[in-house]
Amino acid sequence: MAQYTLRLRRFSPETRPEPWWEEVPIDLDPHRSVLDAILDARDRDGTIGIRYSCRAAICGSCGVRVNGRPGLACHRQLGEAAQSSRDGVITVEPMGNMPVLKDLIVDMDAVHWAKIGQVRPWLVVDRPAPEREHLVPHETMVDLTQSMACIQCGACVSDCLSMEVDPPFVGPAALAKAYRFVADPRDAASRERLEDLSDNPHGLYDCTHCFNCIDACPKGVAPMDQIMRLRRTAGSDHGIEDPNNGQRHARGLVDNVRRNRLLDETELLAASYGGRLNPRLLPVVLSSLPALVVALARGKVKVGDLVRLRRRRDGGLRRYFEIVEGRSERIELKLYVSGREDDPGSPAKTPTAAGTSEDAAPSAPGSDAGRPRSGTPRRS
Amino acid sequence: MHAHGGMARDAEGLRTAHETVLRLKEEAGNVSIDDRGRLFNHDILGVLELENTIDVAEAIVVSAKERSESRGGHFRTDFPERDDGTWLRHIAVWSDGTGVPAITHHPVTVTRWPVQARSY
Repeated sequence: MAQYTLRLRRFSPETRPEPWWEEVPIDLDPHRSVLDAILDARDRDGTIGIRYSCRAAICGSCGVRVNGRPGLACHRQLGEAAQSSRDGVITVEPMGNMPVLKDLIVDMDAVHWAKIGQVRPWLVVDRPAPEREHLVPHETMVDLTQSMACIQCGACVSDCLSMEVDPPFVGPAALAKAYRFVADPRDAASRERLEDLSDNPHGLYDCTHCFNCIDACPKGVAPMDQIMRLRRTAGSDHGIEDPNNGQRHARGLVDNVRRNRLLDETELLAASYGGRLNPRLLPVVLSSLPALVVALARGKVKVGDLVRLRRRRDGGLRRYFEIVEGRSERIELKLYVSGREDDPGSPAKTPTAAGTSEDAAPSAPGSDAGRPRSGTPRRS
Repeated sequence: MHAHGGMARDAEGLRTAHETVLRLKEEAGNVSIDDRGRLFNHDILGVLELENTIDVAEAIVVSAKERSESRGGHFRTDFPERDDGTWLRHIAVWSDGTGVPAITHHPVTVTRWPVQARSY
């Protein structure tokens, strides 16, 4: 047996208007879970509130923050939690981004489930049912399993930074769920879903790539990866315009290099805003005039650059474009690698495994054959 | 219930189980709760679950004692054989408000599949 101390964030609006901290001594073995410790404390004080059910990281009920990190209370061992704590005391708080109802219980209905409901989490079917069953290619199903692994615990929602500053953001869990249906060949509303999520200012392009959801997820769903795949599907497969400049910027950069061999940044700015004649560009140019004047004065930019009289020679670059763009299937680059350096299962050590042509060649469109981590449980 | 009220049962084990359940039923009348609130009151939930669990346990033990034969998942080591002559009937356990469960027997209506012994 070992001695631990839990520092519980308590809140009971019926008896006290303000939350408070409470320290509880725990006498359990280090391999027991933080949830076991909370339930042990509850045996002595029946007023402690926490949702739980399976105790085995399957049901997704006991989402909390342990030492500031979101996850399942039943999925953290006491010994590890005490070690990772700054002062040896295991701090347990309710999840973030959702109103606290009582102690460790947050209002999942008001936030998480409302957002899941926004993305129409069901198959939209527009044709009669097949006689036997609707077959889906194996690779497509494998691709979907990652987002299907979600157990709706809310850990990613808890620590989503975009949602913190923009509460209406659809958020990581719901967008991962949206990918599950967008990428399902049986779904008849994929394009409609992508259009809705692209038009929604709190939708697809509201994510800022902070990785918090990837680190939070106890099931390796990697919601941010699913959001990026939604974006690629919307932009590349459906030609749905990104209301921000990101997609135009990326395309502008490629076209720019194709034409100029080296990057011409003055031209890139225009491309990002939809071209030289696009009215969106004017205020940007006006606001950057002072910087431009200084740059001209110091010789960092030449007048010739602005009007682009010179055209650089190709220099063999065209061949690279031909090779890359000549592929019949899209290579899903695994750009978003997360994990810890000291984790032997972490993909951070093997970034070269991602996106090589050998790995990606057999992938179906939209699948992510280059991903090294899929199926590998994350250790935390 | 695991030790005496599981798949394999006999009269003596069921008597022990029944005594235990009755003792727990009596003790359960003395439980108290810490939480007096109306919000996520798991304390009350625990008491309700305890009461219901004891009710179900009592019904299982009482009906298992009643059925002196073996049938399906009910295996009496002291009555290993099926006895359709006496026991091709339902046993119902009722709460009639007296605190002691009432036991009634009901005929079995055989429809599409005739009752027969299974062998594995």
